Order: sequence, then structure tokens, then C-alpha cells
Amino acid sequence: MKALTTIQSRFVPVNIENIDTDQIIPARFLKATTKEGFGKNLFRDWRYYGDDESKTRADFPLNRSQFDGEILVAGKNFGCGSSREHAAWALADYGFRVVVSSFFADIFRNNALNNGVLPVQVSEAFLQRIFLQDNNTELTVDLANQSITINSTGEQETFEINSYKKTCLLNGYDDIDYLMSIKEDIKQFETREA
Amino acid sequence: MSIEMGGRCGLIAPDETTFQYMKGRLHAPKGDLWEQSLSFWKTLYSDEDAVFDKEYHFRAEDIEPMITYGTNPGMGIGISENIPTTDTINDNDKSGLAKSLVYMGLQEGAAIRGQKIDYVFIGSCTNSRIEDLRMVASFVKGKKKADNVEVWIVPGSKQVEAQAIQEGIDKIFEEAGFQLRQPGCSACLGMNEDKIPAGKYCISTSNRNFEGRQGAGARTLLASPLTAAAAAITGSITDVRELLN
Repeated sequence: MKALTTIQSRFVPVNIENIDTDQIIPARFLKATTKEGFGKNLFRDWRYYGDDESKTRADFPLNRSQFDGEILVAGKNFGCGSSREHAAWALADYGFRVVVSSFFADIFRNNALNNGVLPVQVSEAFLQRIFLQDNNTELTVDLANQSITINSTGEQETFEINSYKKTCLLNGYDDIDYLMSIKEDIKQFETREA
Repeated sequence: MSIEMGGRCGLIAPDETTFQYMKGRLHAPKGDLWEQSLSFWKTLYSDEDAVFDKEYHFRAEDIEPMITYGTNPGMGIGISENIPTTDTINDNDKSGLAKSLVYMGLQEGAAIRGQKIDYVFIGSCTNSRIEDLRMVASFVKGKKKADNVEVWIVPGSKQVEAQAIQEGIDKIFEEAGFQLRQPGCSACLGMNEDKIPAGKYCISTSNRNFEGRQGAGARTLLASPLTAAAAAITGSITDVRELLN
């Protein structure tokens, strides 16, 4: 997994609440044997009319050229519904490293953390401040300091993250990588307890 | 349904009904192991003095048949009620209402009863136990489906399917014009061929009604097996209580 320390980037706003995982990645695109390739179907039915990829919905933020960046900003209760891990895979594969919302569904939050996507939960007021910024505004997400900043105004909030998951993200570890990183400690423990 | 409520899992203390159900089943422990398991299971209760963050108590008899009108499971009403309006809905749900009603092709403030439907899906892990199929069968026996609907019955498992056939429930469905389809997830999430076409209305006993859940553009109304069965007979959303007795 790629390490995530500080992300400074423009953002893509999807100002819709209760975005469920069926919207993030519809069920008919779940059949695959690897985690790769889901990005092209991220928000599939909001990006296209029907199954014809030439018929794009011009008003959907992912289709609007003025929006870009590694940060997705979405309305509260992001990732509700089906517990499919593919939702996190699709966001990661599309290129998002951070999702900002005022609330995350619990299962999605963990799936995201396990796949190198950082969920940043901010207050509703701060979220609305971000939505008010123009499309050239950059956000800075500093994982070590657990802070998110609107660069143009300097407004900042801190966010919570499980300390184990924080260590994993900062180092680019998945759960196995983490265990391997403390292999010597494990060996010593086993020697001591044997 | 714990996930629909935002939980990661739900726990239910086993009771005598559970134990009776388990006894003698395939994969259930047998002999001494059964006795050991049973005494262990009987310890799986919350302590007398357990403290909960919040407690909710519901009396099933106080709840009329429910149905959803929107695009998440929380957007539900009693079948005799009207679809909420932006003036009456609480602030929390306001933002999604207009968007979801556009998707659903429904009007705020309108009655849900009488809404024409195109498909009936009685299935999914949520509501296709043998008990559900028995209940539906006892209601539809001697009745015929409405001409404007296609009715899919999908047992929750191969065992449920076998039991239904053994009890002759499949014949009742066949005579009513219902199709008994392959056990599995089916039209709950449209991963196989059981998809609802765009713009069509489906009353469904599954647990999720998100946009496109049953197929791109499909419009899902979640309801109980009996409410779905009533719609299958009349061709539109119906209060099943009016058809009982």
C-alpha cells in the first residue's frame, strides 16, 4: 500500500448526503478477481446515462473539467448501505486518497482505511465552508497532525483516526505489512514465552 | 437489518424458539455435543445489570404494514399514510427527498396506495424463509396475479426451495401465475439476470432501495412479503389488511 502523509490537492465536491455504496460502485460491476479496474465505474450511474459511456452526465462533478484532485468532498453519511469493500477499491482506483465528509458509515470507514483511502470527518459547518470555496482552492490534509486546512483562507480543523490505522497509513502498511514490521518483537516474544 | 440502522453487527439472545429450530438440523451439533452447546448458548444473554447507551422498545402490533417511497431504507411510511412533503419532513431528511422523488417518479404528499407496479419480488436473505413463503402461499391460494405485473418468488436457499416444493407451495404459486426462480440474491441487487428495467416499479421484500439497486433506473418499493403478495394480486400498492378474512 502507498504511504499517505500529507496530501495537498484541489478537491472534487459531490454535495449529496447519504451517498450509499450502490452509487459508489453499482452491483453489476462487482465481478472481478482483483482490486484493480473499479475506478472506471466509480459513481457509474451518476456519470453516464444508461450503460453507454459516450453519454456522460455533464452536470456530475466527476465529469466537469474544472474539478480535479485527490480529495473527494461529500455530504454527510458517506458510504452507507451495502458493506461492499469494492466501494473503497473504486475510490482508490479512481485516484482519490482522501474523502472528506461530516459523517462516515462505519463499515465504509474501515474498508477505506484498509485500502489506503483516508476518511476525514469534519464538522458540518467546516464541510459547508469547503463547499463554498471555488474550484481552484486547495486543501491540505496532514495525517501526522490530524489536521485539514482550506489553504486559501487558513481555516483548519482536526480529525480523529484510530492510532493503529494512522501508523499503517503513514507507513503504507496493510495489516500483514504491519505484522512484518514488528517481526523481531514477535520473535523475541515467542523466544521468551516458549 | 443492523447495517441499515448504521450498525456493524447485531446480536440477538437465543431463546427456546431458536433452540427448537436448531435441534436436529443439518450442521447442528448432535448427542453430547448438543447438550454442551445448548448449555453454552444459554449463557449468551446480556447481564441483568448491563447498561446500554440507548434502549428502544417496539411493539409489532403498533406498526401498520410499512412501505418505502424513496431511495434509502429510512424513507418509509405506513401504508395508509401519504408521502411526506418538504414542509413536514424533518430537516435531517430534507435534502434527499426531492432528489429521491424525481428518481422514483412519485409526488410529495401523494398517497402510496394505488400506485401501479410492474414487478413483485418476494425473495432475498431478508424475507424468503419458508415461513415467509408459507404465509404468501396461504394468502394467494386460489387467487391470480394481476395482468400488469410479473411476480418473482426466489427462495432464500436450496433448502427452502426443497421444503416449499415438498409442501406443494410451488403449485400454489404456479396457479397464481408467480414464477419460482433460482434461490440466491436475485433481484435484491441485480447481479444476475433478475434485473428490473429502468423506470419500472418493483415492490420488493429485500432490504435496500438505493438508486439502481435492482438494475439501473429501477424503482424499488420495499415492503413485507404479505404486502408484496397483495400488490401482486391487485397490480398496485394495496393495504393487505383489506384483503384478509
